[in-house]
Amino acid sequence: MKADRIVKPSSLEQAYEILISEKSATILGGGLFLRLQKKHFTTLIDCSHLLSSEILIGDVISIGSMTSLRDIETNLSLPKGLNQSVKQISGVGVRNLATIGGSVYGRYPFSDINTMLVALDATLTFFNSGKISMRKYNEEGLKEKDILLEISFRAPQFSASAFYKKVYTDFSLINLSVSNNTLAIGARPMRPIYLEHVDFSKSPKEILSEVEFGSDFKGSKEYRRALCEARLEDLIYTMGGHHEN
Amino acid sequence: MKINLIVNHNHYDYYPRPDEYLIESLRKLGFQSVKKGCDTTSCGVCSVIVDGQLVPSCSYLTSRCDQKEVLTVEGIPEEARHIAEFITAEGVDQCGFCSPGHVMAIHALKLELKNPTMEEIKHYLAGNMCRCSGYEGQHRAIKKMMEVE
Repeated sequence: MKADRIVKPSSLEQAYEILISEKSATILGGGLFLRLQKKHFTTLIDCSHLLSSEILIGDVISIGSMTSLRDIETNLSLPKGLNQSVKQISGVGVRNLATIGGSVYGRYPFSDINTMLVALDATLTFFNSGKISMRKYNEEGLKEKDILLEISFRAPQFSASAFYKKVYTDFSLINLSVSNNTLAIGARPMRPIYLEHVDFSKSPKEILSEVEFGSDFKGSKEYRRALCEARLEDLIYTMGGHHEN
Repeated sequence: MKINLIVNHNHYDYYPRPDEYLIESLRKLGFQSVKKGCDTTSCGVCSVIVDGQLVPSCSYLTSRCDQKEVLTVEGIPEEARHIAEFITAEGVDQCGFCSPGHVMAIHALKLELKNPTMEEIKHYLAGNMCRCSGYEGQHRAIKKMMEVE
């Protein structure tokens, strides 16, 4: 990553103005994925002093976009599935830097936390575009660049997350998240999809029969389906079902 | 852009490039304990502590360090020696390239977790790679060190 300048705007209005006026200006979240890109940015906009890194717990949970993944991992007032979804994203050092805003805004299909947020039917609040469903954003993105302020969702009665990684700190080959009776599947390797009103008394094979998987250098679609069925069975077991034979 | 970079309690007036990362700045300033490993945020070799938090210095923009406290192995000589004694006693120091990052991760672990379990230790240190040892010796060393303190 190369950059010509880095600015610390005094307000979000100013940050937004710079963001839309320059084609290759971008907002810095944790900066981890930008760091790995071979892009040349005219301007990096550091809004870390303007954006929230607070977690507010209530019937509706809201998480500031600059909240680190490590804070999400260690805040045990958050839904358990959300804690679980981030706990093996690289090491502690990376999770201290990586932000939920960066993960969400990038719409990374391999992201473990994005799959959980799709299951939770989270709402995203942007500076200019206002409130948008995570599911819609995940599918369509935005027409224009924007600044993500907050991620919010209703506290679920039950949530859980599972994944399969070849190495402890690697990207997931497949990830799954459950929120009440909604199941989301990510790293297929396409973007996460969700199934609502899932009958978890059915077998994983039946539940996943309509789900499309793809192949990449990490694994074939058949391998991913097999892994997904196995990890779903594990999730169902944590919910008190299956695993009798 | 001028920043006040605080490394091991010493203040430096520093002018980083917009895309300069902390590892480069620290090494320019003479903190040679900070090693460059993968340079892709994967290995933990370049780990330092910024404002009490373990971070990979290869991915932390220096311009974000204005007025922040950066800690490297040079800033904790007694603690580093203490940790190293336990690691060498288990015979897992070997090439030593990962040791500074590993020492900083162990220091951060001690600051953050009191009486951690073996599982918590392994989880905390999972981001610090070592290509010589099989990790078991390191884990034994840390467990022994934490138990005797």
